[in-house]
Amino acid sequence: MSGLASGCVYGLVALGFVLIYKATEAINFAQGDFMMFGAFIIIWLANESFLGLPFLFAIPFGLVIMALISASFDKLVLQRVAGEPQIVIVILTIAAGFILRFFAGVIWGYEPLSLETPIVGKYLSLGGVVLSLAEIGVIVLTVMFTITLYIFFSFTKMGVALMAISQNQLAASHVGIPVRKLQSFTWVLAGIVAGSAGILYASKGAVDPSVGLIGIKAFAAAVIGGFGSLPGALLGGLVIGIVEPFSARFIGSGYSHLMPYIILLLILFLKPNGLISQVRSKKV
Amino acid sequence: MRGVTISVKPGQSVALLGSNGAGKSTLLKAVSGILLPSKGSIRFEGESILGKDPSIIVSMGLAHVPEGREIFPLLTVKQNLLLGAYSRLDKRNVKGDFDLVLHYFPDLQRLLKMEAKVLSGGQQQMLALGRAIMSKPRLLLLDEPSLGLSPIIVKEIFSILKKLQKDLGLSILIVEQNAKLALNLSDYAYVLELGRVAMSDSTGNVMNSRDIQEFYLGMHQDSQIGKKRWKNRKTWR
Repeated sequence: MSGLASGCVYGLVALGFVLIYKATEAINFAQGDFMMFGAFIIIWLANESFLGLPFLFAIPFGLVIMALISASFDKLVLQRVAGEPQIVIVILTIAAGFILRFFAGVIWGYEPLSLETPIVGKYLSLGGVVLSLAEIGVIVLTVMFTITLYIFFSFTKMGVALMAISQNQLAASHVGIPVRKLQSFTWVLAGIVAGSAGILYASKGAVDPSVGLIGIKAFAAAVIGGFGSLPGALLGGLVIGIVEPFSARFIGSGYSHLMPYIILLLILFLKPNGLISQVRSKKV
Repeated sequence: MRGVTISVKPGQSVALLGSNGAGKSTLLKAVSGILLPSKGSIRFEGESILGKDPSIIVSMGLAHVPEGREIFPLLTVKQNLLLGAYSRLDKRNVKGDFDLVLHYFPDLQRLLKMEAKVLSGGQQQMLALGRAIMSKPRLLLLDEPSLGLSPIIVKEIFSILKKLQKDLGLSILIVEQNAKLALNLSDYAYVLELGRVAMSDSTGNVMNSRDIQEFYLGMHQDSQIGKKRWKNRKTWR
């Protein structure tokens, strides 16, 4: 159960990677740090020792802040290097990750903090199995979030246009989709996804500025799922989330951190396009 | 490209001929805003469209069907078509145009729910054309619509294009390796060579020109050439 919950968080961070990659063909290596920052923001808004806003009010407020941070990163930094090679953008995102980690440390300190939600630390006992309410909440929220995203990408005009950009950017500009504008919107969306992942992460464990490094595991999850596929990213996250505690139990806890990368290697050997492949051969 | 001036009058079809690397596709991309020319001017219906975003140019009534079809492989045929109307402001007429496109391309009707990647090359080209029609263009830029298609499909597509041109009063600027097809569709032709206009005249005159017959239409008389062409030599000894 706790594996599923952390898998959900990995999955959401992986989803952020894939969103940005699909819309802009760049990889945002700060996605994990965006999540960490989102986690701190929700703690800052909701905890009694900080602002102490009501929890249900703090969530949308936190998401808006994350959307703003992400959008201004796009607007102030990335739009200025438009047209430069992808490596420039990649390095800028790595730098953004360092900056976010530094600011989080300066503002909120390096000691782990955890979120005080109405459901943290409460347990539900079902026929002998003890379940943590927070973890159930994480899973339910992720499922709801995924369904919302699915509806957005399949049925709304803007969502379909975003899918179109991800599949064929050239054709998208040919049919009159405003590619640049929608790419900026994707950053907003990625900020919201990172913020949601942060809220979930904060409600199931302690947060310190270095937790953004789970971004690396989430990156592995995205690759396992077939980089470029949205459901694949969530699936990859779940696989890693579930395998980790099992391997900690049966192999040894020290080795469990290796498992994501072992799975990654296995997938790359056996099914190089990932679990849900989106690679197509181009006919000429 | 340098010093190229090309104009398409309303309702007119213009063919753009020339060998590989002459700059035909580049010209189309510059017109539709995909590429930004370093110099020059581009006007559409009197208004300068130089440097405008492609999405705005499309909404002004200028649609570009790129080379190699460029459909959205994982979206359904219906979604592909509807995306063609993305930048339109008159949402109410979109449904009518959707039916219109299916009227001209009846093959797409039974494929609507399928992912576009499973379509054959000819069906994909029809989809790309239909998608362009969905933006309700007044000028259609076509880049190699016959590329990689069988002669039967090419014939079908060109007859549909002819009908579209007649019924909707479309202006067409077409780039095509198959010069005969392009000339049949159009009333005026430009011949580009290495980034400049080598010849421009009405289709009839272009077709009767010796050089064009030789280079683009493949009709050459042996008497016209003094030396024997290397192609016709039996051996190299």
